[in-house]
Amino acid sequence: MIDNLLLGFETALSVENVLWCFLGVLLGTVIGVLPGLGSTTGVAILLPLTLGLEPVSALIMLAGIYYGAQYGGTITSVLISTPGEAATVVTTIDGYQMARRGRAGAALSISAIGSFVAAIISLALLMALAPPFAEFALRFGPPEMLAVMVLGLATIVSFSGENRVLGSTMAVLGLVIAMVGVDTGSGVARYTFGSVDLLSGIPFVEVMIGLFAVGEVLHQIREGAAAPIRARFRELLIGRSDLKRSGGAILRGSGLGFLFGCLPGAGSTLASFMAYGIERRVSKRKDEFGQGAIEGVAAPESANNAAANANFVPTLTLGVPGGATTAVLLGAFTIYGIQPGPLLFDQQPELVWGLLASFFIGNLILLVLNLPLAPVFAQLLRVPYGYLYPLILFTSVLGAYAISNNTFSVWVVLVFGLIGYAMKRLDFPTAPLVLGLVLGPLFEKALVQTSAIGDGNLMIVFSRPLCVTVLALAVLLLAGPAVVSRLRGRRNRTQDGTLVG
Amino acid sequence: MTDPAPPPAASAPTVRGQVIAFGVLAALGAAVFATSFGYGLFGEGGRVGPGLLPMVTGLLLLLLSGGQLLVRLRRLRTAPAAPPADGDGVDVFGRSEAQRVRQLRMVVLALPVAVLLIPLLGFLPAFGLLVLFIGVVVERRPPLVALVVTAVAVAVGYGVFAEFLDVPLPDGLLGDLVGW
Repeated sequence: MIDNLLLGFETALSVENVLWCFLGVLLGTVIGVLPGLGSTTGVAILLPLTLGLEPVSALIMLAGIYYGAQYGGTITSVLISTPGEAATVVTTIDGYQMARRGRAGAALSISAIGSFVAAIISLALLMALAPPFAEFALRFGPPEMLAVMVLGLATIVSFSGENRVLGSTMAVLGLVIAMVGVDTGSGVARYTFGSVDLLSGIPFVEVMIGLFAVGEVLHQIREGAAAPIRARFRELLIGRSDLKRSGGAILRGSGLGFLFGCLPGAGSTLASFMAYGIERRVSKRKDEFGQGAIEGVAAPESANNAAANANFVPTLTLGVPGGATTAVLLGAFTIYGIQPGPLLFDQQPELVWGLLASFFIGNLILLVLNLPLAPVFAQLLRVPYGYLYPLILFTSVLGAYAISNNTFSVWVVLVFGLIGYAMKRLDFPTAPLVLGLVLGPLFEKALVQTSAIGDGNLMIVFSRPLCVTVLALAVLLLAGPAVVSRLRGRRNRTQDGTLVG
Repeated sequence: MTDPAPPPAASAPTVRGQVIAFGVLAALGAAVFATSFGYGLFGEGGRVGPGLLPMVTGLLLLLLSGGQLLVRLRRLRTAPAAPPADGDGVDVFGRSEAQRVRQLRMVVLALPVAVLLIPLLGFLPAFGLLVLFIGVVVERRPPLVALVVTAVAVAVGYGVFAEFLDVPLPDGLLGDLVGW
């Protein structure tokens, strides 16, 4: 472990990699500050820039973009109440209220500090837990992987928020889109309509650029811009009482975020909402929540960041994305010819540990960069959107073209841009679609291999204890919330009856 | 967990849009389900064939979308009318909702035109023209400023993608004629 850590820091601390990490954090923050754009978009748009780099440098830069964009998204959540992604939606509740009361600086500061503390805690846990988990995952054969995919799909459905049926529909749509192309099991071309471009499937990164970047731009044109609230340098100084109030919230958010982030497909959104809900429940100042309570910013921001790091546990050890952004990163791994999974820790220790060590460095850069410079980044919000969005469109199509040097990619971006716009207009969640799209081929591969092992009998999954355990967890995730709400409803009815009686 | 306040009920236009979307998705599910049998559901010895997963996912998409289509159709009768926009929906730059819809339509139409122009003009000139068109015509910015923004975007795009990343950007007929 110590040797691996040293190897990781040796790799991450090379001048070249520190520079790529810095550039990633900087570009990520800039992308995140652009209204409505978040980490998934940031990684998807900027992925082509890393094509000429060594895989480890490219992944370090992409990881920098990931958490840079997350913090950038917090700036827009606080200053214009426009979250970059679902995970920072809850920050807008108290963050924007703090900004309206002239405390934007304090909200941005506590976000940066909370995110940093959460990152350090979760990274220590990630480094400690990922290797033994990867070793354990070596026991996973195709049936176990099939069970993990089922767990991933169950997580997506279970955590789809208020409308699980809608989340399920989007996840199934993702699976359907993933069916296009040559079936790896049989070599049969499906739904390609004679197009050579479709033989290798609908390109994933281009779909992401379309859904998130172009879709968001079209949505912003339609919705119109909001006036940003100014954050000043002197306001970034945070008082001792604020720090004291936020300490517990940061620690609780970090723990909760890590726990939820480890689940394949869970992403960071649920973690941030859970952290906010728990904080509101345990706080002595419940009435301040929704009116600008600093804990209401500290807890979800910490949870969000801890979950983002924990998302790498399933991504690196199982090759199953933790959330939408790690799904794009998984696509990047494939572009560089790297297969994430349990063997990655043994086969490419320099890459894995270099990447993990770079998270520490990147988060430190993020803190140093953002504590004093958040108001500078916030100035980007004052650039008229009319100048910004043509440039976003230009970069998006150029980046998409660069991935496969094919105009077909640009058409994919445009088509999925329109789909992304329609989804935003109609309040359809995009994350389940993305995860369905990623899990589709993995799910089918595991399904075909399992059926081959069982000579056509898929029931063999129930004869393997590990499979049964994972499937039981999936059932629990699906049925748990319904059972809990029914029990809660029954208890409330009983209490009402007692009161009336 | 205490959830934040529930979102307001969807307005009639949103529900109408959802009805169309679920109709399209249900049709897609039906098409995938119907065509999946042609790929073969099972292979040798009853193993999973290339059509099995499309069959299952197509059916699921049909059922899920069909169910929600029915729910939305019922909801359409009770959905509230579109909420009145504050100040006629004028945004911070003074654009009304009608103006924003017009701008959106122009951008949506201009994008495929730019792609179609690639074989003629080349990649960077075609999308440079798009940036200029949006700046001058759609956003009505001062032409000189829009021209400078376009020139910088094309120059940076060329430097990063064509020079640094060595991406072979199409030159188009114009590029071939001029000899770029």
